[in-house]
This record gives sequence, C-alpha cells and structure tokens, in this order.
Amino acid sequence: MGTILQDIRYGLRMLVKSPGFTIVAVLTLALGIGANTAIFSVVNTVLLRPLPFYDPDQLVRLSTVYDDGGTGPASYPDFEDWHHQSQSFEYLAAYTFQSNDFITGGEPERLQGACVSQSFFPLLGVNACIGRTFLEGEDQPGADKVVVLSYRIWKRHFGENPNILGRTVRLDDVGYTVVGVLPYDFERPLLKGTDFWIPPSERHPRYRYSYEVIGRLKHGVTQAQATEEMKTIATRIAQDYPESHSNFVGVKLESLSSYIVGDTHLYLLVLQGAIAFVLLIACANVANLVLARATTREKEIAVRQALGASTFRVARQMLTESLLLALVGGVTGVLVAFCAIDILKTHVFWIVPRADEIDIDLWVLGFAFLASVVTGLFFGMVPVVRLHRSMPYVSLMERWTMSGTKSKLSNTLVVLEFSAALVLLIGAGLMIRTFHKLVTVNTGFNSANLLTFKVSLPPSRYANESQCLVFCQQTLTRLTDLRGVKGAAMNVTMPFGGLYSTSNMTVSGRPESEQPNLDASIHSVTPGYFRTLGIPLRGGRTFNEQDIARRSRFVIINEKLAQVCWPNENPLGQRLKIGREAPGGSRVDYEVIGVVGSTLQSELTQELEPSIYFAYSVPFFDRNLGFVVRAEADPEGLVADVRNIIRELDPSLAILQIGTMQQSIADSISRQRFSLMFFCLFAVLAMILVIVGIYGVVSYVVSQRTHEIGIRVALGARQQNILSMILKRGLTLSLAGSAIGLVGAVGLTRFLSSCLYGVSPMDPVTFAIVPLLITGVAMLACYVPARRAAKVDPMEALRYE
Amino acid sequence: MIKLKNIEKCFQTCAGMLYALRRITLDIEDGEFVTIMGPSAAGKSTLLNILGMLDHDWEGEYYLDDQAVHTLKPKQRMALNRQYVGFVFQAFNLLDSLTVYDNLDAPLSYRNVKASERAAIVCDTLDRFGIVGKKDLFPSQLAGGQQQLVAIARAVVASPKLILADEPTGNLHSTQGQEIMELFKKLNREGTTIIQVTHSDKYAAYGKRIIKLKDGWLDSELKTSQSAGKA
Repeated sequence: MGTILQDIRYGLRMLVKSPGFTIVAVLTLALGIGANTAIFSVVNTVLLRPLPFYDPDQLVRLSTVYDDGGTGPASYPDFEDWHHQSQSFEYLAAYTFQSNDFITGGEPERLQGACVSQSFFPLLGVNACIGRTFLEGEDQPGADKVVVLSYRIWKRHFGENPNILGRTVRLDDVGYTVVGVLPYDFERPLLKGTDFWIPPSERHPRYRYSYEVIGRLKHGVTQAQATEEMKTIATRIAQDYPESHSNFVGVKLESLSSYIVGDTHLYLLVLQGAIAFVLLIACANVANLVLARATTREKEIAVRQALGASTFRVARQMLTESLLLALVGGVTGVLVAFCAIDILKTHVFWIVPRADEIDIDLWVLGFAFLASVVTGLFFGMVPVVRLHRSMPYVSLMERWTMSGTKSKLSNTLVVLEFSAALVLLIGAGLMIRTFHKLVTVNTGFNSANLLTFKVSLPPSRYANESQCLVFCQQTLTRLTDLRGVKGAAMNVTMPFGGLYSTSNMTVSGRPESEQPNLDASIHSVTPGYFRTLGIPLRGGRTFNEQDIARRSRFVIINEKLAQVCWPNENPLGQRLKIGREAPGGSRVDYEVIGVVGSTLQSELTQELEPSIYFAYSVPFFDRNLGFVVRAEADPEGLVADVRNIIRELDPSLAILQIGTMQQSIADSISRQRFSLMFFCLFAVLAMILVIVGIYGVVSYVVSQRTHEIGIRVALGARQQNILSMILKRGLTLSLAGSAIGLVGAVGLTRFLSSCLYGVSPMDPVTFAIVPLLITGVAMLACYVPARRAAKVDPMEALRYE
Repeated sequence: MIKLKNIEKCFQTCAGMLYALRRITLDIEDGEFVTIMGPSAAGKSTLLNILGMLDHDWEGEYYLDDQAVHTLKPKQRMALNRQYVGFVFQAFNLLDSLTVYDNLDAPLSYRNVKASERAAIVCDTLDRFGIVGKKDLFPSQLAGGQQQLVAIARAVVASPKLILADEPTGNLHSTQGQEIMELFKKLNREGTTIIQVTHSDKYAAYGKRIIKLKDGWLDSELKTSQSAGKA
C-alpha cells in the first residue's frame, strides 16, 4: 500500500513537472470523455432509466390490431368493453390529447389538454397536491364538468391561489369546475406539456378510434397472458359489431417504456457509438503523447532497473501516472458534460422523448469514471508494452538512437485514429448527402412566402356549419384584401401542419375483388387552395363558391390516387365512396371533377400518398381551420395583420401555430438536422484530433531525425528531397488509415440506414471524396514539420561537441 | 582548385564577438593532399565546413575551380557541393535506418543519377572497397573501422573532385586508422584532392602539406615528404 501511495505521489509530481504535456493530455481527454458522458446522459435517461411511475415494468400500452397487421388507437366504447371484460389489469385507462381556448377574462390562450378516463391518475400513481383527481362516475355522460389543472397554469393564471378549488374556468366557452391541481414536479412522460385534464363528457361513436389506452398489469400476469386474453375480448367485440370491427383481429400490448422511446433507441445508440470513436481518437492521441514522453524518460527507467526495480514496479508506476491523468481528464470531462447538457436538451427536445429529464445522475458519473479508467489503462499500456520489449542497457550507452519499436507503436496509433476519424467523417458525409436530398425534395407545392396559422372554433359559438363557413369566408376575404398578399385559402389538414386524416375509399360500381383497398388522406379545402399553394391542376377544374353553396358532391383527387384507381382511364367523371358504411347509413357517391399534382403531407421522407379533396363543409365541416396566405415578400411581416384580423372577427379566439410553411417543413426534418449537426460536430472534433496527432507524430519524427536530415543535406539532398521524405511518411500513415477506415466504414455505416434518406450507406461519392479530403488535410498538417525539416541547417544538425 | 582570401567567421556571444576564423588566405591545388592541424577550437572543422559549403555564414572570398563561391546563394553553393565535394565525418554519420548499399545509393539519388546507373556505381564502389559482403548489413552491425570504410565509400561514390575529411581516424584504433589513411593516399594518387583535419602528426604526414591554425589564424604552412606515413 505504501508503495502504491508512493507511485501516486510521484505520478502527481511528474504531471505537475510537465504542465504543457499535462494540460494538452487533460484537455484532449476531457473533450472525449465529456462528449461521451453528455451523450450517455441522454441514452441513460431515454433508454435505461425506468419511467418515473411506481412499478413501471407493469405499465403497458394497448392498441388495436387490424387484419393487415397495422395497429391504431381505440374508440372509447371499445376501451370501456376492454375495461369491463378484462381480468389481467389492475387498471386500464384511456386518454386523448386536445387543445382548447382557455378563457379567464383576458386574452384567450390556447392550451394543450387531455381528455382522460377516471382511472388515468390512479393507474399512474399520481395524486393532486391540492384537491383531488377524478372520482368514479365523473367520466360518464351527463356527469358534472370537472377539470384538474397543471401547477404551471395554476401559478400563471391564478397566482397559486389556494382557493382555486370550486372555481369555474372556461374551455372553449364551456364552464368546468376545478377539482384539483397536480404537483409542480409532475412533468412526466405522456403528460408533460399538458395544462389541464378533463374526463370525457360525451361518447363518440364506436368507429371513432381516437383514444390511446394504457394499462397496469396485475402482479403475476405476464404480457403474453394479457395479450391472449385481450385477443379473445377483441374477437368477441368484432363479432358483436361487424360493421365497424370486421377487420379487427386483436389487441397488441407493448411496454409503455418501449412505446415512449419509439424508434429513437437505435438512433441514440448510433450517436453513442459515433462519439465513442471520438474518445478512441482522443485516447490514441494521448497514447502518442505518453509514448513520446516515455522515450525521454528511458534513461530514468534504465537507471531504476539498474538499481533493482522489477519490470512490474516500473510498469505499475507508469500505469499509475496514466490513470491519474485519465481521472483528471475525466473530472474535467464531467464539467464539460455539465455545460453541454443544457445545450443538448434544447436541441433534442423535439426529437427525443423525456428530453427534459436529461441530467447527470450517479449512473452517468459512474460511466464517466469507467470511461476514465478504461482510457487510462488503454493509453497507459502503450509505454508499458514498449517497456517490456526494450533493452534498457542500450539507453545507458552514450550514443543511442530511437529504436524502431517506438516508431511502430506511434505509427499504429496514428493509423488507428486516422481510420476512426475516417469512419466518422464518412458518417457525417452520408448525413450531409441525406440532408441535401431532403432539402431538395419536391413537396409538390411552392412553399416560398407562405404563412400558415390555425384557429379552433369553439362549438359554443360556432355550433353549426354555416357559422363556421361564414367565419372562414370572412377571414379569407380580409386576408386577401391585405396589402402584400397574393392569395389566401384554407385546408383543415394543411401540409406539414401536424394534422392528418385518412379514410378508406372505394370506387363506385366496382366489385369488391377489384377495389384498390387503400386509405387516402382527406382534405377539406376552400376554392383557391390549389392556386395559393401552387399545386398544379392536371385536369378538370378546382372548386368554386357554387360547389360549397350547393353542397355539390364533388371531389378533386391527386395524381397518385388517379394512377392507383384509374390507371388506364380518365378519372374525370368517375365516382367514389368514402369511409366505411356507418351503422344504419349508406355512403354516397362523389364525382371526380379535377386532378391535381400530388403533394407531401407530413414528412419529406414519406412517399406520395393518394389524396382526396372536398370543398370545405362538404360532406362535413370541421371547426379546426388551417389558413394559408401567399405573401408577395417576407410572410412574417403579415403576422401582426393576421392577429388583428382574427381579433376583429372574434376577440376570444386564439391563433395557433402561426409561422411560415418553410419553417414547418424545416421542423419536420429536425431529427435529421440534429443527426447532421452532431455527426458533423463529432467529425470535426475527430479531424482536429487526428490533425493534431499526425502533426505531433511527424514533428516528433523530424526532431528525432534532425541529425539524419543534416547528414542527408551534407550528402547533397535538396529541400524537396527532405520534404518528400517527410511527406511520404505522413502519406503512408494516411493511406494505411484510409484503407482500414474504409473497411470499418463498410461494416458500420449500415447502422446508419435508419437515419439516411435517398442515400445508400455505401454511397460511392461519399466513400470516394472523404478519404481524399482527410488525406489532403493530413498532408497539410505534415507540411509544416516537413518544411521545418527541409530547412534544417546541416551545421546545426551535425554539431557534435 | 581552391583559393581562399581573407575568410573570416565570427559568432555573437554574450561576451562579445567571438572569431572562429581570422583572415584565412590560402590556395590548394588540384590533386593536393592537405592536412589542417591545430589545437582544439583553432577553427579547423569550421574551415572544413566552409570549404564544403555546408556553412554559409562567413566573409571573404572563396573560389572553387574559378567559381566565386562567395557570390553564390546557399542553394547554388549546395549545387556546387553536390558537384565537387565528398565529406567524411569523424562520427561516421552513416544513416542508421539504411543498409550499407542504401547508404552508398543515397548521394547518387540526390544527384539525380538514374536508378540503373546508380546500381552499377554502387556495386562498383562496394567491390572497390571490398565490402560487397556487407551490403545488406545495417551500420549498427558493423565495427567502427568498417563503418568509417563505408563512410569513405559513400563520400567517393559520386566521384567528387574534392574529399573533405574531418578527423576520419578520430574514433578508430591505430591499425584501422592506418588502413583508412592508406585508402586516402590511394584516392589521392588517383587524382582526388583531399583536405583532412587531424590531430595526429603520423596521419598528417600522409599529406603533402600541413596547414596549422591557431586561435582562428593561419599560423604556418609546412611541406611534408610524400613517402612519410610509416610508423
């Protein structure tokens, strides 16, 4: 123990004695360990940390399974049947998100809320900090309208007034009694960002599938057992309601944690893997530094051994110094990670679930410690290996030259870090190509200078279709009259607006066996919509005011639908039916009067889908209106005018999501942008470390070979001979690193497939350009010491007295 | 072949200007074997380095084969060095990472001699010096005398007109030293001009003329008997 403490004391002294070396090594390690720790904090929170509910392993999500293998939410009546018939669950609860205008006397505020069953809060184990949550029976039709508020809203609108219970608040002009307030720290998955919770006050039809269902399994019941039971229940319901449930085959259960994480787990693992490469490169850099330093201490080591120190003792000393260095680097890295976490959270918030929970806990600190120890052992072993092979007595001789072992080790480390950097750079290159493909995707419409916004008309003031229509027409008229506006229109499900509606459709007069069997996206639009968005008309005509006034049963379809349904016919004049047969009703025919170009609806990566356009309010009207305005110049300049128009028409209406269409499109690729940003950051870090590494190695070689270079000049070598001799060394290292890196990239880039669009993981352009680029930059790094070598004065080099 | 006129070299030190050479004026004829002698710090090696155009920081006039070296730029001087000079160092200064063959090949490659020609010249030189069997060995595998032999072979491989030898026997024992001096004598007989620096009177006698330096000044010049050199 005493000798170990001695080693530690001596190691600290050696580090302090070489401040330059220590600072460079610590900073390099801090960069690598800090970055890894920051990304691990995300992985830890999202993938490893259990959900912040009691017994989180018992929580599952239930979804309806269709005969085509697809899954989806349930209807409230289905949920109630599951709840009453199932024995596998301690609790079953349903919820759906909604937004309402919250009116407290001032300007109305659009709030995000949720409509939840009574069992929702008990299932999650959440209690109100003031008042209560919902009682039995409060989620039944006809019950009193009650609401539970978030702490945030209670604080902002009511100043944390303890007399909040029993007060009435208005949501879309409907009064709700406040029965409870949730605690201030209730920011958990599923419900963060939600400002109020209300129980369902009316029953939607059994065929309206809009509720997410979660359950808490009873202890001792497995997911498989519960799935089997739910399948039986689903089959029974399908038999009882064949018109609406003919294609239901079962209920899928998955852990709630998996549902919340979704497809981000692979994505996060890719990021963690990528940043691990940066740590590898940092390790190799520090290993080279340690190796160079060990060379200068060979005489000291030789003397120690001559005095009787065993190889084990000397090796332990060197490892102790390396571990000390790594731990200092690790502590500094954790500080770096603390600074990086806040920046990370703001960037991943929209992409990664539970982003607001990301922090550095004991697990993350443990990871940082482990990373420090492993890196310390890695680069600490390098001089120990060399120690094992060297002949110490040689260094005691007067004229001693550097052995080949140090060179080989050093070269190997440089090649290793070069290849790791190349893999990262290829990843970044693939991301850049993906992003370029994405931003050049043809959306099918002209997205420039478009301003979009939404309003949600409350049923209390807009009870019927004509009221909604009047508001819509008045809004459009005023928008069109604005200076700087080229056109305005409305679409309930605006492209990239976050709303998406589909319906099954059938071709009228065609037998069942010849039906296209597809779902088309449904849009309810005003006349002028296609012109405003710049969607080309391929045939027929668009809607006019008469179509709306007469409630004509006309539809406009897109090219994709026309190709699928009438590949060899003119679709104009053809007829189709929408949706499934409602109980007791019969579907009507709609005539195709126009064909327009296909557009993307929600993501740049999606395929073009069949779409059907209805004239607004035919066959149904929707109170959620999505407006679009084509400006002559910057559309942001119209925001204030838009707010004034809406305020003049209805002061109690809140405007939602006002922004440019281009921003909405950009938001849709935020994950790809995030991936690109991080990969490029990692790649730049890696490149900097590699350049520093190669520069360091070549500089060291030049300094060691100064004598030799002097001899060569004395023998007649020109500057270009010396230059090419040094550059050739750098080139050899670069080419070796490129070869290994390319092999590594071939094996590893397939893990990026899920992040790529329009680009193969083995994209030849990227694989060709990146090695050339990094080799070129590496040669530039070698040029500086090579130039220094070429200017060696033979007189200085050969001075031997 | 060589004309020096008032060659001076000095260093700026914290104690003031330090003169390594003071107004050195001398002539050396083609084919001469000249020895430069003197006590330590007399300026012998400095003079040799100036003659070899390795040192560019000096004043005075230096003519090599009627070419005014003092008017040439360093790059031009090095070109002249490649054309005329072969250098032999006291510490051998062989390239440790190259074999004997490659050490001999290096000066030829720096003089842009074609590969096929280089191979022929190197083989011829190896044969001439009797070291064919050692061509694949590294300098660290040779004894001191053999290393100096290789160093001299390297100095003459490009057929220089002038060989500058800075204490070529300094690290050798007497038998080896004598062998080296006999070799120099042979080269001189074949027409190569040789200028050596030595502390040894015995080896100095191999040359035709002895130039003595003291404190940077040319102290004296002596002529020797050509047959001298036997112990």
